[in-house]
Amino acid sequence: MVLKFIERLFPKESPLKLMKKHADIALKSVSYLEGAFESYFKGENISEISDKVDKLEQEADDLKVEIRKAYANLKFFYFDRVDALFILHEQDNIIDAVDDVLKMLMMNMVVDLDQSVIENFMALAKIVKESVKLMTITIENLLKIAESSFSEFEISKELKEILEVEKEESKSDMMNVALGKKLYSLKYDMNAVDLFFLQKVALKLGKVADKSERIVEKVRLIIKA
Amino acid sequence: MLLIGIILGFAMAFAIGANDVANSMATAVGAKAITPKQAVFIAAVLEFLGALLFGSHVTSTIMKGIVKWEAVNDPKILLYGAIATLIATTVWVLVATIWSMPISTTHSVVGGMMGFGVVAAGWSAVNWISMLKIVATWVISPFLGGLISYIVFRIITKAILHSDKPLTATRKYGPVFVGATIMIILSLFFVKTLNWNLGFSLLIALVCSFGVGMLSSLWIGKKLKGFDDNDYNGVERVFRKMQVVTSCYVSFSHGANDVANAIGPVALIIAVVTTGMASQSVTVPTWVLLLGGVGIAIGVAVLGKRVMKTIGEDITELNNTRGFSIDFGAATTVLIASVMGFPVSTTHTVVGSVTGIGMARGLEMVNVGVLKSIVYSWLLTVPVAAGFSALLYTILINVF
Repeated sequence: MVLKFIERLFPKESPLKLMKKHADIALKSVSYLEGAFESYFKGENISEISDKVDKLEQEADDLKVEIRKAYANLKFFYFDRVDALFILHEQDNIIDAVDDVLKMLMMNMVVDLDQSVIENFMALAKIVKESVKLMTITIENLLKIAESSFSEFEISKELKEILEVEKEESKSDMMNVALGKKLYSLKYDMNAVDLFFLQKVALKLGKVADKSERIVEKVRLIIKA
Repeated sequence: MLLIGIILGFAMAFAIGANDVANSMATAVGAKAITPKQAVFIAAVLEFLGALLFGSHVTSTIMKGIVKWEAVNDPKILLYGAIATLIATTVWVLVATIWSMPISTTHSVVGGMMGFGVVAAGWSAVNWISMLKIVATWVISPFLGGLISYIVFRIITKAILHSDKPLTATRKYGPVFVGATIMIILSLFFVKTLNWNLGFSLLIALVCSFGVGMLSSLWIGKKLKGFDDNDYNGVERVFRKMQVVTSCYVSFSHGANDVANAIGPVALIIAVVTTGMASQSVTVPTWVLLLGGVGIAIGVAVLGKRVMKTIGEDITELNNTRGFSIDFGAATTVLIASVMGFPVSTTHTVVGSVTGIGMARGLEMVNVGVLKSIVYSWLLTVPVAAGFSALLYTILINVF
């Protein structure tokens, strides 16, 4: 009885571990993008993939409520809860962005697209996935850093991972520019609506990598504080 | 009457062993440092030893420090009062268990003794100076537990976790922590229980703790083979096993302090039956401490395993360096209180220690709502136990 009372002093599951679970959901949703683009460019229906991401979004929302509740009850934290909730919010935005991309693809089918544009989109999807994967690793390491009481060695390892995410985000920016240039080079051959549509999709995709970068920047601030 | 007292005291000791064993061993079981079976065995032995070697001080306080014998004219009053206290405490602890209230057995016994004293011989029968000191320790002990845990954790952070080579630092400082634990226990035992000279006691304790430290150094070196010098996991691995040492320390301290809850009233009964209203120089018989120690040990052995299994499955994973710091802070505080004769709540001291680590940014810890219930239980337990004991005493003295 007595120990069950002491147990109640601690959250049932560490909010940081829950944040990692939430990050994993974000990665899972991003993982569907390559397959979705492949199907889209073949002219296939992607509603099934969109439904899967919808379910992930729901799962993420439930987890978000749990995490917010845990932080609302906590008296002591490893670091400021405002920073933790910022990370949570951005992770959520990643899942939302993926969902938006899929919904957009469902609205408009672009046919007979130049192969180089398709390759650029596939490459961009891959880079975005890589950036989110690395972001997930930094969140996982954050718990270890907190438990090691922010030891310099663990922090230095984390900073290396953060640099990798920033490189991926930089690659995604460059890819986005290259894709944009490619699209606009086809302005005389393509339907203008389709051109703007695809450019919008590419920008939305790029935002996912941006959000990964914002998350790891926040992690950098936390561990350097 | 003596037999009834002994049976009740034994039953109380059994309940303390069964319920409270989880306090000391759960962090080690939760961290998978030991199995529930091992925990039960270790706890049974150490609770018994703590009770036997250090239990006389707090027992003496319960026995003579709360109700003034000179204010009570009739030995029957003390006898019935002690029995009323035992029954009231046992029932209150049971009720609180059912209602999941985090009450303290220690507070209940103290309240019970005060309750019957007031009814039997008026407010002047209670040793209010002593009561004031006891209540002061109830407030001080969680703070002291928190402070010691905070300091220990900060030392671990600075000396080990933040060092360039954490594993080398663990090899260096791990034995120091183990040695310090032995040093505290032995020096207190020599000075307070065996009444040896302070300088001599410290010297012998230092030699013994140095020896144990050296042995633990060899063991730590063995455990860290194969780990990269920067590997934080290696540090946690060593502290997982060191947590077994501190869990033993908590068990020992708990036995030292809480055995009095069961046998303090029994010792009072025995003293009155054997010496009449005699003297303040009555000491706690060793066999009474044995009775309490055995009761606790049997409680641990019979019911503790079931409790430990549940705890082992349900407990939040406490990181080992934190668990170590919490255990060390709580155990040191409870042991110091024990040798000074102050009955303190191990539970509340552990809560203080956990809070100390939280303040060092070492834990994610739940809020005020849970801490509030400690304060409410503090405020409620003494009056309820006192009132119930007073009522029972009135019934006993009028019926018999």
